[in-house]
Amino acid sequence: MTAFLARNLKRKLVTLFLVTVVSFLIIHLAPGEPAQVDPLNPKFTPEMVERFRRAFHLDRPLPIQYVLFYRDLFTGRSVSWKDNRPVLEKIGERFLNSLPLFAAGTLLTWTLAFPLGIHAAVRRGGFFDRGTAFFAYGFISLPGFFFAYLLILLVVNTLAVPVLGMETYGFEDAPVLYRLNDRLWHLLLPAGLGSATGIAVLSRYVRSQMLEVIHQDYVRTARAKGLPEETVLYKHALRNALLPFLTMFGLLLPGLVGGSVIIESIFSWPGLGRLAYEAILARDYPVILTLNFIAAVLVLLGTLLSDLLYAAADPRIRLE
Amino acid sequence: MASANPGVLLAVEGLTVRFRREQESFHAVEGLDLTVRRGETVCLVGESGCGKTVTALSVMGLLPRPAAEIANGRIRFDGIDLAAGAADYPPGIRGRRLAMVFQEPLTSLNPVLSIGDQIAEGLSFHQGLCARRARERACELLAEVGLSRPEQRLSDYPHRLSGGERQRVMIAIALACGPELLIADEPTTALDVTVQAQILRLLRALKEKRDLSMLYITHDLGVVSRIAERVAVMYAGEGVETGPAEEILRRPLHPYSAALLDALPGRGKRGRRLAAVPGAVPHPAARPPGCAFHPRCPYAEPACRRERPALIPLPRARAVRCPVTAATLGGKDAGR
Repeated sequence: MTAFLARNLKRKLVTLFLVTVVSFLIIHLAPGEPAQVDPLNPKFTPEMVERFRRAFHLDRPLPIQYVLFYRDLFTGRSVSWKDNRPVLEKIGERFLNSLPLFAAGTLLTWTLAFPLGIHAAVRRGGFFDRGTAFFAYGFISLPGFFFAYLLILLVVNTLAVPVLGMETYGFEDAPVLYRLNDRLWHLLLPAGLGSATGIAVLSRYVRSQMLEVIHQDYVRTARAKGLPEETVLYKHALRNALLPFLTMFGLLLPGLVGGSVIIESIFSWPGLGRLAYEAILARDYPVILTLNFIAAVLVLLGTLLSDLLYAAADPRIRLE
Repeated sequence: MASANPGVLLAVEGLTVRFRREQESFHAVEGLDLTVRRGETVCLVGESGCGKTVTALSVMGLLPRPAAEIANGRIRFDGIDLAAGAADYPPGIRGRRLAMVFQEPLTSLNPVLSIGDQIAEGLSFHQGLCARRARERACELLAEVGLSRPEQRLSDYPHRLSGGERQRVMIAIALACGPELLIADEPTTALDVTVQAQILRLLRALKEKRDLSMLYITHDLGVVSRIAERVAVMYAGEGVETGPAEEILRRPLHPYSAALLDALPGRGKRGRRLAAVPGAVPHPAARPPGCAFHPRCPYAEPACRRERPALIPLPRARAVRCPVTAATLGGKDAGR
């Protein structure tokens, strides 16, 4: 076990290093440079551009830039080129905003998709199965942003649910309960929308996985024992059907950073996804690369988590 | 408990199982009669695809629904009708009085549950044993089916066991609640030859010890000679011959049974080329008219192509679905 962890971490560190190199190169290969974002701005004199380039080491060779950048990142000294604020501080602030959206969306997705998919599989071809299939394919094929605007129209016009931002403007000094209530209402639509597609896709996966397992010989053995149908389905079939989803569960982690750019933009949610989007438009290298680095770390941690979960759930897998 | 014949434990009468797939519909088993008496071992013999497993699954109420259904016939177990309700199998029979061992020991055990769990859960459910008692009982069962170090094996998972060991565990699961009838569906087919012999010996010993009745499904006539008291031969979904095992092995009446015996290697045939039954078993959807065996039959007469023969009862508790051989051989036999 410890040997597995040590070997695994070593390999993941190498991967992480390669990720930093490649993402750094890609950013610098992309046309445009932070100093030239706004060349028509009369305030941007050539001297200013030169000063800017020197301040952010853009006049140095790439390998030096690479070393300087990651030195700053690890010592916490890198700052956003846009507003000179420390990158980690900016990200941390936005992360706290994104977290409730991510948590609510994930919770909704994973608690609803499984019962829906299992139920559809057990009553295959029945009314419930066809009904969920209809809605699932509807949500999968309807573009999220389009559906979002429909819902906004409906909700704002008829239900008076707030939809913009994280809380109502001027509510900062309201009593805690009022603020909480207000925030929950703001969370409703973006979280619901963000999870709708997730539920649709995941419930279909759960259904097909369950259907595959139901026809396995060991399920027939369980039936031959004369066990009640619930035991056959939920003890013998479901446990096997769940195995592939442990892998997916670990890969949820990167969603913390990637978030949902579209949903956050539509609902003016000041989250990480929007921060990344704005940083890319502004060629704000430190923010982009730092987010990229964090995302890579989360992906690698996620795969490790998947491996560990899998080994815990499936006796056939041994970590060595 | 209104059984016509008190010694009969399982009585299958005129069983017809229909399969439906998209457009086509066919009878995988048609008009099959089969009886198993208490304490008796009956072998159901036939080539792959002749409906042996479908028969067993019908008795267990495990036909794959909704593709398959019992279209006709009755299955009575100790006087209880098992095929009456389409969906409701009578409770308290499957896994308790009636148990089955499957053909594929490699895939028939749940890979994520320990074998102790898998044996104990039937005991907990049917006999209401507490977890500790059920585990003790599972351990005894593992010892009974001849697994070494049963205490340690309880917490093992199926992938750590060999094929033979897994089949032993399957037998332990089937025997857990002390069934009266054990259905064994080619339990040795997937195993090595030496292991086959061990499993066969084990089943025979268990049968004696527990006074079991057994319905043993096989395509191997060598197995029949070692285990069966009576034999039922199936061809293309029909029962073509039944009778005491010794009689059928010594003097098969149906041309198909005779051809199967001819195809068996034996001492007397050393050095000679083994006979094979020409042609292949027809798919149940494309059953030939008349006698289903006539395209492969050396004794076929014109009438065989037209008329579907009935099962003809003969002396010595035999019956054969072939008027041609029943008249010649059967007549001689009867006159002796």
